[in-house]
Amino acid sequence: MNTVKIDIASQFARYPAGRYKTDGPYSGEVFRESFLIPQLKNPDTCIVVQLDGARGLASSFLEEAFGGLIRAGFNTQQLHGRLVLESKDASLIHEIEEYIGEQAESHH
Amino acid sequence: MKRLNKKQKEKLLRRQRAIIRSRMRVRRKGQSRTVFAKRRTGGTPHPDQLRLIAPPVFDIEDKKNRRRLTRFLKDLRGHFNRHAAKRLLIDFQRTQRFVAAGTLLFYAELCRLVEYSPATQVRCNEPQNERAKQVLQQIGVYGICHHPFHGRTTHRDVVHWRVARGHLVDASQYAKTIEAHEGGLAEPLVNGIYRGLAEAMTNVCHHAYIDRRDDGLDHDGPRDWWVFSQAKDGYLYVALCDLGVGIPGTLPSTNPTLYGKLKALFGITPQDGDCIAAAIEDSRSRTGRPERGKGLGDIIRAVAGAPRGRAMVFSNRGWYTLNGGNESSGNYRDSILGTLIAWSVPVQSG
Repeated sequence: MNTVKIDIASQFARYPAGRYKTDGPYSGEVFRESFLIPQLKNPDTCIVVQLDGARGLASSFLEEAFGGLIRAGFNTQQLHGRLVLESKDASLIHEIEEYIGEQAESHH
Repeated sequence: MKRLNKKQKEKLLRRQRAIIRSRMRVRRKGQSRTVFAKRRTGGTPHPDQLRLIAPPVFDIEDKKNRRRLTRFLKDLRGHFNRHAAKRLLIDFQRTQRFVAAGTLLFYAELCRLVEYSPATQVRCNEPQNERAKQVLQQIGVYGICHHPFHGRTTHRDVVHWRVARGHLVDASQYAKTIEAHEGGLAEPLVNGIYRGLAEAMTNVCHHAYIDRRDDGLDHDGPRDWWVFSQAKDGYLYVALCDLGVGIPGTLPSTNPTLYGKLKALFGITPQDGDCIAAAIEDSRSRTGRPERGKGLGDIIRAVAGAPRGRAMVFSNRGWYTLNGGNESSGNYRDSILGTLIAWSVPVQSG
């Protein structure tokens, strides 16, 4: 399996913010559609998302970027082992897992 | 009929003049606070210029200062609404102090009004207080009012004032206002402030302007936010303001369940302070963890762990504050017709 590293701060934005495309150029929706979905569409790819370095990862951005993957048609099995989150702040990773879990529950 | 001698005639005339002057004073008091300005050279009123006296302190926390500022802003809106063709002189001569939150609100309102009626000419004079004089230069009010300022901004408290404005959720537009202080801030605080600002801006984009503002202008205006930062007395102060319908105005549509509960608890219309406190509490309880929140909870989270940190939310008549972990909320008599969120965090020198 190929591993692709995505560093939010250096590859996307140092200050990611907002939920939808209409909110701004560095929103959760833009990140999901430009970085996460194209890689996850390939079943042989595992993506490692580096969260550190990006300033102000707010709940609306995180929910739309990662929780939005479930709304975009992925399920938790497809994401398990293929979406790896890296951060010194463990609560940030836990928060994203919650958003994915909440969406998966409501889509059941 | 008794004839008056010269001395008696003069006395009578003096009395009559005094009565006329007294009547004029009473009449002037009853009129709007916008008065005809006098020409500097002459002393006769300029027919096309109205003068609006700015309050001594621009502040929204102290009740008395807030009342004066909201009245001034109401008169300012009134000028653009009713006397748009006349030139306006904002008289800052009596202004002594600009407090960050009140100043940001005034600045945002002025920007909005100038766009509402671009043809209206706005001019201003300078405060007598040196620091206040420099604040107006630093934040760009003289530029808006086409006032030629010949001095320099040198005051230690003033040179660190920064303002930014935008309509998108784009932190790069205000990052410069905070980056300058990052070295003196603990990492979680820096992240917390960026996170709070990003979430507050997202709220502005999604909810703040869902309805027309009740300011009598009958105008939708820009859907903007304004950010302000200031380093003073060992604290970094960051504030974000919008001129939308306020949190109490958006709650019925953004969270009808919560609004219904508040109505049942407090009466037909819950007070603004109750709406803000309940919206914050609700956003935290939705995460299941009190230290973390979505939306508004994210906004105040920035300072939740900082011992001397403070978060304040002012929306319409209501206020909420988190100070060293203690929460309180309440109401003022006057509405700011919008929302202003502020964070104050300690900065380490060096």
